[in-house]
Amino acid sequence: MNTSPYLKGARAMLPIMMGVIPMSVVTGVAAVNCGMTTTEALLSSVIMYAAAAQLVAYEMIGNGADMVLIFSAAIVLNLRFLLYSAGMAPHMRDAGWAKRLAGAYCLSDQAYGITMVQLQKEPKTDTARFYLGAALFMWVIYQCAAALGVFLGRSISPDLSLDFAVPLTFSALVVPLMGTPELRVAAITSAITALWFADLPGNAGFFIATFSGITAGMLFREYGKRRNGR
Amino acid sequence: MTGTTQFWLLIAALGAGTFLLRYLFFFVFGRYEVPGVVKTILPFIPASALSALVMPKVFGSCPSMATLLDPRVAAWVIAMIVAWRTRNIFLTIAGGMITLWSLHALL
Repeated sequence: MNTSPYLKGARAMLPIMMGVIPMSVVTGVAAVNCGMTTTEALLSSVIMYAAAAQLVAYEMIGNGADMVLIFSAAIVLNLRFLLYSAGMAPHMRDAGWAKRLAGAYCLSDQAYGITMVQLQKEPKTDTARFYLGAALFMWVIYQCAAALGVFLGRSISPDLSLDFAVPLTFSALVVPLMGTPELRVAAITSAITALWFADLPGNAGFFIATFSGITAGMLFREYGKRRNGR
Repeated sequence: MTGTTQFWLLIAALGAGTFLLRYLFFFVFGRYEVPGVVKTILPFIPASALSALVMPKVFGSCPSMATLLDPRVAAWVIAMIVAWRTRNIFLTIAGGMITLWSLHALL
């Protein structure tokens, strides 16, 4: 009856792996496609452990973009970890330093999300252990799937256009994020701006588009607030 | 660029930067709160950044009316419909790739 909270966390992640595995496989394929060696691909996956940021970085490395731009693009995408970090920190304050370090390193959208869901369902969960179980399990699966991707990237012919799986992965990630009108305004504005500036050098279009999307979304939110008399 | 010192510097910087973002509040908790402005902006970042990444890869860097006939555009539209209906990453990728492969085989 008394299942370890670590195991409970890991088990809760199982259904989410259906989404994690293909995404992670795609990062492995993308690493190979941008010219990385197997060691480079596997190590960078362990060092960064952030699918969206890795895909952007690999893409820009392949284009020969400037290092500062690559760094900025990936870090911008990873800023969301600040929020998760703030959300998890109160639950981890009594854990030892090693668990806090491991918990921070393995922090992911999925592990954070499942822990928050679990807290709503069972407020008495041993949150730190549940979270660590979920986060570490996810890490292991992610790295194995990335290795599989590296292998596939080496062995599958480029005629299969596996590179197209990258925008498809991003699309699959962005659709659930468009849950409110202001987020939809942000995403659509950014999409149109990105097309408009797609031929600018150094991925400048990416930064312009992201900034316009954020601005449009926030303006729309303000407008909505005012119209509702707040 | 891979295999160079520059490449490893970049990967190390990205790893360190990402780790700091993850670790910051585990470390400073109790001393600082996330500022309200940051909380307001953050949800908009992934929605905008990911959309910005998708478009040039589907429509190319100088889209025209002819672009609309590209198999990638059709495959992406199908994938978006699947994403919207199922919210499933695997099915979205599968739907898009199978459409793309079928169109390549037919055309």
